[in-house]
Amino acid sequence: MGVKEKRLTIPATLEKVEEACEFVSNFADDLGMSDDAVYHCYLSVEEVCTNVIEHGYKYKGDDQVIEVVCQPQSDHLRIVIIDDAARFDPMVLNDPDPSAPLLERGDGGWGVFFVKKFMNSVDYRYEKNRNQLILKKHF
Amino acid sequence: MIDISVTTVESATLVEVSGRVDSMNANQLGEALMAEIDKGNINLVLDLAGVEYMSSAGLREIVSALKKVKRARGDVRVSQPSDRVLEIFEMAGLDTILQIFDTQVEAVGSY
Repeated sequence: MGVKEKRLTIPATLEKVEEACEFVSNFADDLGMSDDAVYHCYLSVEEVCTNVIEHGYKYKGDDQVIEVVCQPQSDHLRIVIIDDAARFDPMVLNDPDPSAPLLERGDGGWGVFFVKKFMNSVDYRYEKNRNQLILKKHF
Repeated sequence: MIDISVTTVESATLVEVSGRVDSMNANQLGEALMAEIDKGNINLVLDLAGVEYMSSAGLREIVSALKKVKRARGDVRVSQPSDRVLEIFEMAGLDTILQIFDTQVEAVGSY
């Protein structure tokens, strides 16, 4: 394939999320992934990083980082998003209900749901005191 | 980066948005909608023709505004969402809650 793993470390602030999204989507684009797949990767990285900054670091991540790793595999792109916030597995959250009436809904809560829909798989690991969310997107 | 322009047309307030609505700037959309609602402008048309990308952060602002205007018997009606924005609405089931129009004229005329 010729493309090797790449990694990017950003300060855990909303201002830097776009940089992580561009990093991953450019990588996916270089792999020849479709426009839709590249878009799905972009949006998923935004949702995951935003959740880490909001819920993990609670907007106090100026001195903290998020690490993003792109690993090309034989038939998919593996994206690993790593943070040092308190241990938390977002996959334990219940999915919001798209059929819920308006006034019974929370305002938000759709980010992880979209990631699950747009990626082929999403897995959580806690290794070396770090949260790792592993996203896989088929070519 | 997003641009938001607000104009009064007939019996509705037209909020035209262009750019990418993401976690960095979605609060600007929320603030623009809430400012109109606070002024009593509760018949809103949100024209998304110029929005090529919207994440859940944008969705959150729209849902929040919609809940607020519904309580005051107003509405947020959407016109011209791109296929990708419409897909996001559909995944969240918002396409059955929001009135969505193909054209701005139809959305404004619906009030």
